[in-house]
Amino acid sequence: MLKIILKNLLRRKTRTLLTVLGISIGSAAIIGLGTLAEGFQAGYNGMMSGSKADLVLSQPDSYDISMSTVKEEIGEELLALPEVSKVSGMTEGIVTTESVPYFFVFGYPEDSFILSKFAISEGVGFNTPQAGSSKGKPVLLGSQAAESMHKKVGDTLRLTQNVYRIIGIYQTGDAFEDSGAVLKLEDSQALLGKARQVSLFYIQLKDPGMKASFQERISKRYPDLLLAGTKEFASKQGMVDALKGTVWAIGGMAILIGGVGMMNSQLMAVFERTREIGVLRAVGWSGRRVLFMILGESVLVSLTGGLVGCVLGWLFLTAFASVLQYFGGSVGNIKLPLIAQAFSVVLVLGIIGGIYPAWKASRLQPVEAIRYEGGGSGGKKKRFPFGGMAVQSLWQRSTRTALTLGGIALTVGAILSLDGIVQGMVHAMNQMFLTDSEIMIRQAGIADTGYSAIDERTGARISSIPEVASITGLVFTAVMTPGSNGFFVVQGYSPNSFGIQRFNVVEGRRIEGNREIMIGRMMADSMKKQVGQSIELGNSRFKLVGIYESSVSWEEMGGVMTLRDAQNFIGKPRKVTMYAVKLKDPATASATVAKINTELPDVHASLSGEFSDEMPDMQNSKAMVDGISIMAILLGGLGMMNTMLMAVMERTREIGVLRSMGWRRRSVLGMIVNESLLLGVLGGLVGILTGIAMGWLFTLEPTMGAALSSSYTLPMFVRSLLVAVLLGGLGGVYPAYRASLQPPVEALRYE
Amino acid sequence: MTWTVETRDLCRIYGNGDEVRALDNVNLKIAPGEFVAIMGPSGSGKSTLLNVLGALDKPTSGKVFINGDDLSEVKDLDSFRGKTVGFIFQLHNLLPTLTSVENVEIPMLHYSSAKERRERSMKLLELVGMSHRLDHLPGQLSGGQRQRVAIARALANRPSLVLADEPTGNLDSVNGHELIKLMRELNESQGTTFILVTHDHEVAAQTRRVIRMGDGKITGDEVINSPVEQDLKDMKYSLIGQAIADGDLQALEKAGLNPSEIKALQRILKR
Ligand SMILES: Nc1ncnc2c1ncn2[C@@H]1O[C@H](COP(=O)(O)OP(=O)(O)OP(=O)(O)O)[C@@H](O)[C@H]1O
Ligand SMILES: [Mg+2]
Repeated sequence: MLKIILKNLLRRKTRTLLTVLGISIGSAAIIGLGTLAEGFQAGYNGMMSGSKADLVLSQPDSYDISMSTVKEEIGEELLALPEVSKVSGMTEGIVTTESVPYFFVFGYPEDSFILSKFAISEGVGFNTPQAGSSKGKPVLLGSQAAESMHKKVGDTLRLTQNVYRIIGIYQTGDAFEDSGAVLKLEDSQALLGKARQVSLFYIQLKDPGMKASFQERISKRYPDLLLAGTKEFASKQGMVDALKGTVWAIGGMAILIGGVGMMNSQLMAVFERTREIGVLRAVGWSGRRVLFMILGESVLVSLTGGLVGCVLGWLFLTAFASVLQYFGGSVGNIKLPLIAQAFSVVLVLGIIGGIYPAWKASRLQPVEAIRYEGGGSGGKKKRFPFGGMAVQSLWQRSTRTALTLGGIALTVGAILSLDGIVQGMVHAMNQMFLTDSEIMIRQAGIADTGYSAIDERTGARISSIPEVASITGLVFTAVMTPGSNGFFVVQGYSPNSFGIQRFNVVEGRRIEGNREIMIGRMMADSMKKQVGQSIELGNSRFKLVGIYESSVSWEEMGGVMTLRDAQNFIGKPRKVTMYAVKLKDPATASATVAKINTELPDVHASLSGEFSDEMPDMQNSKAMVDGISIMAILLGGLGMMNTMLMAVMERTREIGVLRSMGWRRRSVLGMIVNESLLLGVLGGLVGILTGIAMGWLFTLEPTMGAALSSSYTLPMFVRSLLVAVLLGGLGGVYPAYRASLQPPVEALRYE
Repeated sequence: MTWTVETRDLCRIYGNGDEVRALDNVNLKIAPGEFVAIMGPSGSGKSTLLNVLGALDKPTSGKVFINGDDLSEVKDLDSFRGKTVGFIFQLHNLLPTLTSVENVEIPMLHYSSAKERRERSMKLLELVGMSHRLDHLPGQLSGGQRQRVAIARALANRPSLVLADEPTGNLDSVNGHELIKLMRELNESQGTTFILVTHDHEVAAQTRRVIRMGDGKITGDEVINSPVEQDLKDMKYSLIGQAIADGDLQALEKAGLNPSEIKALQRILKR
């Protein structure tokens, strides 16, 4: 049996190869991305467990360590507690450097007990005489970062707008730390805009047995802080979940597209061999045996695909090691369970993709199978009421057409829905900044707008520019909604700023002072809050004074408080996330943007209309969508190519007949290209519908869904259609070309 | 005269090391309007010959003339096939997704307008007795009906030559007989030359000339059912026929025949 299966697979080498490739991309995606997620988790784990601390004290509901803030002075108080032996604050943040968009920065006090884990391999540590005498602020650089950035002791390192002197190179074995840098606490606080704040406290107890009593004491004394074991803390990081979610979304999509491809290709294999199967049945094979043969083929193909995928995943991780290492995505993190996971997925793919075709094959009546004329429905089906050869051909071969359409539609749909969501985000951003300001300003050199922090003194300098009429500072951040996994988007505006005017308050009033909040209608409904009640956010209480409606879904899912409250809330007093600038004369906008960007290198100004597009978050999302799109196109293209290849091969004799009747190569080619273009256009249309449906499905996702909304533009539809037609064209033209090259006699002899 | 088919030392050799001489110096002449059967054991080169004659395949050496044109000098073999030759195969003949009418239209697709095509297609299907199955898909037709449609299609562009490779191979003898009868009628009414490969002696007996092949060579070529012969058979019961049969030389000499002619006629009549 195995021999027959192998022979069958080898007989159609191109098809088998394409199917294997399609499957392997799916498995490579799982391995590559899964490793990334694992590595990410491992990064946090390593960071926490390597600290040798017992407990971690942080801000609850913060999405990620880098967004947690705790007052620095609490450190002293902690140290005075009877159970505590050592305490160390730490700041963590992500910044951009010359060459890396996401660069981890850690800050520790010079005498922190945690620093002992940073084994200095070159140069010196902070607590040395040489460190004091170095020129500029000292920084310790991780070994991997040093290697990939080609830096050595004595070089300078630029983090956003600040320059540091590398005094030592360290290694901890943790991917985050080894690919990041360590600053002195006060330097990191300055860099990250966390004056007198830390991200968390590491605590070492005198005796681990005292944990319970200590825990009790802390929860009484600091009810608004969260105490957790290091392991527990590491597993609670929202970024890991987000990354895992992304991995599964991408992996799921790859599997879906790959699965449809698999099914398609096996089904074609069955069609193509209908007559052969009839003969097998006629010579006494049982339906079950046929079933196992076909199933065996698809399982074998998918397992091979899984194997190739492992290699591809490994290659991917190796090739992009220099970028991926910052997330812990190194080959070393390819773990056996992950490989097992990929293989089980691939196996399931093979079985699911193969079972229908196998079942169909086993159900073939020998008489009918032997009569089979290649592709037509055998007269069981009415003709499509109109349309030429291409239409009839697609209509009559309906199963295959449906599967191919499904493949294209999924591909196009995936791309379109992601595109739509990013576009929706841009659109929402634009809506938000649709104040009558001409210029928007954020901090320069940050990896995410969430990290943007502009000092109000800089704001003062901006408003002193002669062209500027007025400025509004705003704070913008996301927190986890208490008690649920959802997001709450907090915006801070000063009550008398021009920016706040745009909120359309439908109940109650606008905020007028501190400790007041107004929230979106959707959030009010989901929290079941009414004007006059109070809301607890990150352990502060706010009085709900108003409910507004907004066309931006995440504004609906968030709230607005005063600028001061928001600054305190995120622990960045006297800093704002962005400035909206109103000019005296809008005509000077471009010139003013240029002026601000040259005079104030700390900030990045853009025209309001371009601000969202230029936001690093959007750039990153777009890059991700592009990446996914390319993968989807690759997968969809492979599937399409495969199907068309089979369709054309199955019809080789038909092509021979056409050629014998005097059809030219060109005409044969034209016929098939017509067919595949038609398929492409149809696929594109179905894909657009699929994409819109998928975009809608995303919004049902529990954690972030409500904040997402898709927005589509005409060019996006055109692009989707183009992708589909391209897939159809490329998928169809090559096989058609190959078939038309065959001499007619050979085409006629084709078995 | 120009022969519809003429070959000169035609060779088709497959492979290079272990070569198979599928056609070995074939010299053949077929006149316009002939109805020829090619017979011979399996592997004797019949299909190969048909393919080379229809310009589906190229000879290794030698020449093929169709209606006096040297095939090796024809630039556009596609349109040559489309206009001059019609093919009928044993299997896989019709496009499964198209109806009878559309199948017959296919060869005309690049040579005439849609309306003309439809009209001619209907007429041809009527000619082959398929006007009641115009809009059926091949899967809805019987084997014999499919071959009728295939014949109609082969005639679409009014070819001067129709090549049929075991057209009845898949049919029972009654159906096969019917089909050959149809081809013969078309041969007589349209004057189209038919060459058909067959293993069936009864089928061959319905043609007018039987060429036998063996190992790529022509091993026999005889005229049967020629009009003269038929006339003579008809004469069998006439006075002259009776006289020949009886060997009544006096009566025959009186009718103006010389003795050698009388001997030849006697031989034919005895069959
Ligand atoms: N493509 C090919 N490659 C190699 N040898 C071939 C090829 N086609 C035919 N032959 C050989 O050429 C010889 C003649 O083949 P052909 O198909 O013409 O036989 P045939 O007389 O039509 O036989 P049948 O009655 O079985 O159809 C055979 O020996 C065959 O093996
Ligand atoms: Mg043959």
